[in-house]
Amino acid sequence: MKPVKLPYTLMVVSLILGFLLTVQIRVSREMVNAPPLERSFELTARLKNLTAEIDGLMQEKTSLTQKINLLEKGGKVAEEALLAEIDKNRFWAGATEAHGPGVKIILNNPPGFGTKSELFNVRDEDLFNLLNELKAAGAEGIAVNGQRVTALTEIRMAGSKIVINTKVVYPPYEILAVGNPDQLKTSLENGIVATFREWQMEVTVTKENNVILPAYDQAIEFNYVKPQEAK
Amino acid sequence: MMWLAVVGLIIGIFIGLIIPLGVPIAYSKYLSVALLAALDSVFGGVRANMENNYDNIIFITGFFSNTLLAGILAWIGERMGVELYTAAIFVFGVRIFQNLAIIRRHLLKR
Repeated sequence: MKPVKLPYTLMVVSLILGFLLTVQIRVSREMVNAPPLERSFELTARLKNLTAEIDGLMQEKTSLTQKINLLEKGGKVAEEALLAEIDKNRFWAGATEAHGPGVKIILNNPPGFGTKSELFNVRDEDLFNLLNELKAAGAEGIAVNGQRVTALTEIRMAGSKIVINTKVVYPPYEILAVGNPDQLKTSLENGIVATFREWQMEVTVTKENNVILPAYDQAIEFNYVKPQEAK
Repeated sequence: MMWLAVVGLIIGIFIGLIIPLGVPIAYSKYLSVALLAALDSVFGGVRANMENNYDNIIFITGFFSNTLLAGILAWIGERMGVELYTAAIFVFGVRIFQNLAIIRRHLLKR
């Protein structure tokens, strides 16, 4: 019952009260800005759902990325295969340089050229026959005086000159063929070369370890022929 | 005597402003009820002082137990689905007005 005690206690209590009051006022002010409590619960639930959804999407993304990588790899492989195919086809068409074992044939007009009649000079038919024999003996690539023989190559007489791939070639004719050297040489020696020699033409056939064939150097243009649609 | 309480209040407000102590919004409801109980206790103490039957122990225990109980009851009510804190607000509000009225009369009588 001492009135003296009152002030201090009251002061302490008032102090606590003021402190609580301030905190509460601050929180209330925040509450005005913040959404109501129920909404916060709802938002929390939604946040959980969305987080789960994000996780799922991230997983989906990683799997899709893996798929993309696989597909890109597959694309690279396909591209390489196509390029290889193109290179192979160019090689087959004779559009690239090629080399391999084979034979070298030097074919020249009979000696005393110009004085004798030109009846026994090398003509286009002789070259045809020679190329035919070579092909029959399994030659896989042929060139005459630096002109590659392809499916489009023509060999014809223009006056007294022989024209191959629209280029004039002069004797002595140097025919290079890639194939089995022994086979090529034997089949020539036992056939057409013997005939050439009978006609006084100068022929030598030598086996070569490495024959280098030039590339077909004409522009290939097909204006009329089209691929036939497969039925 | 009264001015000491006012000084305490001012100091408390000042401390509350300085210390950036926040209460989660979820608990603000309970704090408000506790605050009302505290206010009621203080006015009750002042009134008892004026009526010369002030007991320090009763005042202190009353202050803290009322404050805590009000908060706890509000919390329990929330859990039970009964809006108990409105009852607390009502009761404490009425008592605060009563106490204030009595204090006013004492001040006017002198």
